[in-house]
Amino acid sequence: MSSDDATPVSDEALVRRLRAGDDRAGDELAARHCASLMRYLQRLVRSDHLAEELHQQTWTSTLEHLDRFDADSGGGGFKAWLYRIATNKAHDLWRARGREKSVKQSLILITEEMGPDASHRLEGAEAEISLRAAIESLPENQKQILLLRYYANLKFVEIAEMLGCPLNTALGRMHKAMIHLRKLLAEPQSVQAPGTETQGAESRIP
Amino acid sequence: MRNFLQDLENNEAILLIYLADELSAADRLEVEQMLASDAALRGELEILRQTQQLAYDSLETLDSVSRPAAPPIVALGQVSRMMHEWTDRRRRPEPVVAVIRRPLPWRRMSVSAAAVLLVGYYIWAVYQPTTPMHHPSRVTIGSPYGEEPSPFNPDNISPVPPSRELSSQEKMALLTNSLEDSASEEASNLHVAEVAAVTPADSSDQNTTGEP
Repeated sequence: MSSDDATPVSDEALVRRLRAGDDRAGDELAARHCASLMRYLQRLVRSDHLAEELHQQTWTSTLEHLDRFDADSGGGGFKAWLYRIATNKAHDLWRARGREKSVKQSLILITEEMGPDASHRLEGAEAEISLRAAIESLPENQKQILLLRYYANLKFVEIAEMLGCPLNTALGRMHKAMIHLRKLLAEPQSVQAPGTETQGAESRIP
Repeated sequence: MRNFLQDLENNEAILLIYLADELSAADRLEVEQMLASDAALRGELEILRQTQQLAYDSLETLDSVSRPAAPPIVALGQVSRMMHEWTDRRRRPEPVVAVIRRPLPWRRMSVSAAAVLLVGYYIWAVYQPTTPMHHPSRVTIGSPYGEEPSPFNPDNISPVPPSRELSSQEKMALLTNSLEDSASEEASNLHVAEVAAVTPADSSDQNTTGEP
């Protein structure tokens, strides 16, 4: 897991200190969540450029609304709130640009990324491509729960609340995602490269 | 919390949440008792554990072999800078907006009211329905012509009667009237001549008449 559970000071306490004007509390919050949030967005939107843009937008929005954050209102605390903002930003992006365009753009960016760095990562390239293809071939609603569970280390109850679905639905999607992934990794030939999905895959709604 | 387990739909859901360690102590104990007595469930749990591990390992491997969307130091620096700017803005005192209180505008209001009254009165006066010029009760208050009717008032211009053919009776009446007028004029002239004759002071030209 990418998040550190053994933190002496809670995120909520850091938020209180940040509100009081403590810069170091802000730095600590950023250090705790920056990398995992970036990875989550990178896997979610399948584009480095868009992930970076959304990452900045998420933190900007978080700071803008930090005074409204209520740690005692439930809903999983600061981390769940941060990832909820990020997920909403990604949804807004999907809605704005349309899924088809996003897929095309991410395909272009993936191709651009792979080109110049291929010589430096020869040994990992094949594994990366097949793993990336397997994860990206997951239906969006399943992938979202898997990514939130892995990168944000949120509880299933928090994830269900964040996504606005019943707990059983969230657990069912997670189970399907894992089964799907196991099947894809066991049969790599059935994994399609991203952007070459069939019509059925394109019709998935995030 | 006993209801929590009962609310879960199937074994996969129960095992997933058990693997995630999100059950209360009592629920966890209950699941462990189920697992102890059910070998198939234990097998299912093991498959689920391996599958979950495979999914997490896949993501970990992918993260290790692919570069992040932005270099971590750069991303962290950007967020840190945003945090500092945010706290700086909050530390800065709110700009005091000077509220300039003007005295009550009673003078302006009274002048405005007077102007409105004057304009209203003028409009009322101009558009008053006018009376005929010979009417004795017509008094135009404030008119520049006093009690005289304004020559510019179209109501005061006497209309020109339409020309028409006079009947014979009317012609006769007009003729009679004109004759009567001329006769009375002559009579008055004679009367003047008689008066001049009895007055010697007016001698010169009275004699030219040839009368004694």
